[in-house]
Amino acid sequence: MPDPFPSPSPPIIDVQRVTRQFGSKTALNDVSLTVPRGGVFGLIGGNGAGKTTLIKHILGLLKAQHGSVRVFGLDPVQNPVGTLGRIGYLSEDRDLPDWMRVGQLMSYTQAFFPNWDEKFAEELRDAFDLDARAFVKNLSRGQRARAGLLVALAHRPELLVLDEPSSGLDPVVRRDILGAIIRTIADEGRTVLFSSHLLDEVERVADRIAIIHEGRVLLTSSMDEIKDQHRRLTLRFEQSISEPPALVGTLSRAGQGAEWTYVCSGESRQLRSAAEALGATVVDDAALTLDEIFVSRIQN
Amino acid sequence: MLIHISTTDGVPIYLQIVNQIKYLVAAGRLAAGEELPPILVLADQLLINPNTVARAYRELEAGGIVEKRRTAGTYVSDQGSPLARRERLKILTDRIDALVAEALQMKITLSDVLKLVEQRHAALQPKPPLE
Amino acid sequence: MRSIPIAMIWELLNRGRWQLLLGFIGGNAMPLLILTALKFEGEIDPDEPALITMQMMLLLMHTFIFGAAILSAVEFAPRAYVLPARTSTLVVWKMVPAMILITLDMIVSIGGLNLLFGMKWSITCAAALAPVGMALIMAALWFAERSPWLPVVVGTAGGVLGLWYKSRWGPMFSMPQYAWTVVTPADAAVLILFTALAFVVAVVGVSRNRRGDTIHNLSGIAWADWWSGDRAAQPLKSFGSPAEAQYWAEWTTKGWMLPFVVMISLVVGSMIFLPLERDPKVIIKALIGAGGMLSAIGIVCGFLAGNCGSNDANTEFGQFLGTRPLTDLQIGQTILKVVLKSVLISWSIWAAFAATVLGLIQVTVGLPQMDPDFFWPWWGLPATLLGCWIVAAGFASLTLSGRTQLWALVFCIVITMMVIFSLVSKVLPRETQMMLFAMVQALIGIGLTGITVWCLTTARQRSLIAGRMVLAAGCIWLGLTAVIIVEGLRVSYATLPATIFLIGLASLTITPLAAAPLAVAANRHR
Repeated sequence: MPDPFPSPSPPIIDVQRVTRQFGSKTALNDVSLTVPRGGVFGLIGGNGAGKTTLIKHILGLLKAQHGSVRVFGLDPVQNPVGTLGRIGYLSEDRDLPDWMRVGQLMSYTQAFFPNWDEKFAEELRDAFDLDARAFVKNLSRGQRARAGLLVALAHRPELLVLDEPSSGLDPVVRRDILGAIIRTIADEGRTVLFSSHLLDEVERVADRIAIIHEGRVLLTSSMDEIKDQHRRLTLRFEQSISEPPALVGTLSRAGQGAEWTYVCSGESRQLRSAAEALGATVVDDAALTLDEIFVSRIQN
Repeated sequence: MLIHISTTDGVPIYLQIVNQIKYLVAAGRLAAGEELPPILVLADQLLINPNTVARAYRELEAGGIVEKRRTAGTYVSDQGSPLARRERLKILTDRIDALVAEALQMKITLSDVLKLVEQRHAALQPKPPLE
Repeated sequence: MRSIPIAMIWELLNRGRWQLLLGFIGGNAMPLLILTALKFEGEIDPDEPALITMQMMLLLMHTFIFGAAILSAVEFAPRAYVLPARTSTLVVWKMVPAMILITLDMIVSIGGLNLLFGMKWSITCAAALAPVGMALIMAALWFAERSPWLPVVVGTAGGVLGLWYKSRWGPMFSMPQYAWTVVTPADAAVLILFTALAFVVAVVGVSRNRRGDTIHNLSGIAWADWWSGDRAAQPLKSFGSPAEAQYWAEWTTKGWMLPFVVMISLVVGSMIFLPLERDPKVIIKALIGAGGMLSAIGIVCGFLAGNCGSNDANTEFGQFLGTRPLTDLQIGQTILKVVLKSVLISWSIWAAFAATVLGLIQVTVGLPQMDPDFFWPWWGLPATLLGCWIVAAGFASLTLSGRTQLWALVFCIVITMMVIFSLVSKVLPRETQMMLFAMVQALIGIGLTGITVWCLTTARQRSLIAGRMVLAAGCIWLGLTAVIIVEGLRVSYATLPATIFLIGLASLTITPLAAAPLAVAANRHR
């Protein structure tokens, strides 16, 4: 399995300083994002943070009011065929033509993508347990998501874009989706971009993540780096204190009495020496889940 | 091979895999020369990124627990090597650290702890059959 | 909210602000247009037979349009089912405000028209009919909610009431002979009966929906479903190209609507009309009128074809269609192709039907000598086709843009002009009126030409139309212009302003070729 970074090939998605306003509301504020080829890129943020708006820019459904968007080096607004023809997309609201039968949906979608693999599509349909004669409007929510995933995967797209793929789905369908993501990047050169607020899933599969909050990118880094850098230190002071001192490099603190927990990013050694200078002992030094990292970053 | 990944305690996933494989090898549940699952298979089974599995395998290889053979596949290396023995000692050292720290907290003396260890070791010995 | 009735009324008014306004404007548009045109030719004689027919139709249309607006604001969302109220309460308090609203609208609209044009249309009759029609349609809609049987149920309800209404204007199956001016006790009794029936049906339907059953549980309907649906294990087609696949999708969902409506209307219309109307002159006029109606129905066809949204109410580009690997030009062209095929098929149906009827007349009684004021020039036939295309493709382009403000703008402009015209015709002397009319004609002609040129150049700039297509479009327009000018020189009644107006109108034939891709681009990439 080749190491995808640093990637010698040009980035698949290159968003430069994009700003987007809807009326008086600023949905994206000077956002820049680079998604390298190969690997899984996780876009995380709360509801309304701007994830879907950013994804719509990448798909050419929104024009950049300021800044530029390049996908495969092309402008998705000017060149929908060159970009969308190599992308498999699953939208947040699973927008599919309700009136078609599943089989019709498959042959309809096949016409748009020259790389469509019929045999693979049939395997997926079988694995997802979708009846080719069923109408899309009669499918349950989970089946609908699977149908959308099928037509996004069957042409083996270079770029798979999933907007909140797991929202509202039961664990079985979620496993299907994660499995699909993993098998996609198992093929050389293929990339997955997905947005989610289910951070344990992101932690499992993402190579790189970007945190978006209120239209700004707070942080972009590889999963390994972000996990290495954030730690939770528990300090025990000599006596009870009501207001613990703020230490350099900490994002938040909590606790009571003589024991206080600090969430910090960056070198924990500096923190240790600072703590010892204050006369406290470090009693615990633990790693953080992505969830906790996200929350402390947002609250900061 | 039973490996369980948890995302709730913050420990990096690759590290969880490394630790669990080390434990399985030390406990004898992974024999020398046995093949580890291919990276993609394990990634699919655990639903994690294959790069994470790859990183875990690399760490294990650096630590001498496993070796990559050119015909493809990753195999548990022979446990007689000094590197492997060092790894096993390291696992035990971690456990002893935890034990000692807790004993200090609870204000139990070292001699008491050692006596306790001997008692428990005796209890685990297989008993002679009754006549 | 103090109580359920107040909550329901508030919800209706609040949700439906814009729809009600548009419905009011739209419902009055046609009457204003026609009456203004008539007024222009002289004072209106209320007893003229053609006027009586028109009055009847206009009332129906107004009820339909405003009623549709109200319906879009009244919604029985599932969240209403969990309100702590009995079904009958919910039904009453959704129906009654709607009925009151439409009655008020009738009073205001007809009173206004009477004032503006000096008519004597009966307000009481309209105000009596409209709420009953509203109640019946609402009941039918709730009864057959979300089922393919909806058109049948609604059609039956509307049809029955419509026939009874027709009988107030003369014998049920012939031309209207007198205006309905008085609501007799017998009429009132029938109307009350209809209302009660509507209420009962509505309560039954809503109760069933509240329980989660559907109309498909009724055994007869269940059988019909099986017969029509399950047997169709359609073979999977394979398409040659993306555009072909998209064309199939668009045609299947949108294309068949116009021909179907035309066919049904002709069949039903002739079943009611022809057996009892014996005068061939009237039949011929009715056939021509039907050809003209093609253009009117084109509005609906255009709206349907141009709606690329994810549901009927929302014309904003749906994400599925928006992420197809198709260029904006291809999407625009596909939609125009669907509209063209639809229009051609519908027009052919009408033409074939008219030809058959004329043939029947010829072999039975012989074609009559038409009155001297009968006006049907040689270009009448192609005009019906062109008119239908212009309206359908034009409104398709408008809808494709996904901005409802454009629709509203077009309507408002047209209405404002009507109102100004009717006021002007009362105030100014005849010569000034003629001058003003001529000026407006010329201005509109120039304006339409300008719009067409702008669309073509802008689309060309953005590569949303091929150079050859622009050339072909230009040739078509030049050809039409030549025909108009030659014909204008030949006949006596052609004036310069009218010619300019017609040339501008003719340009609208080719505008959609550029406007449709432009609209798609504006809607898809916001």
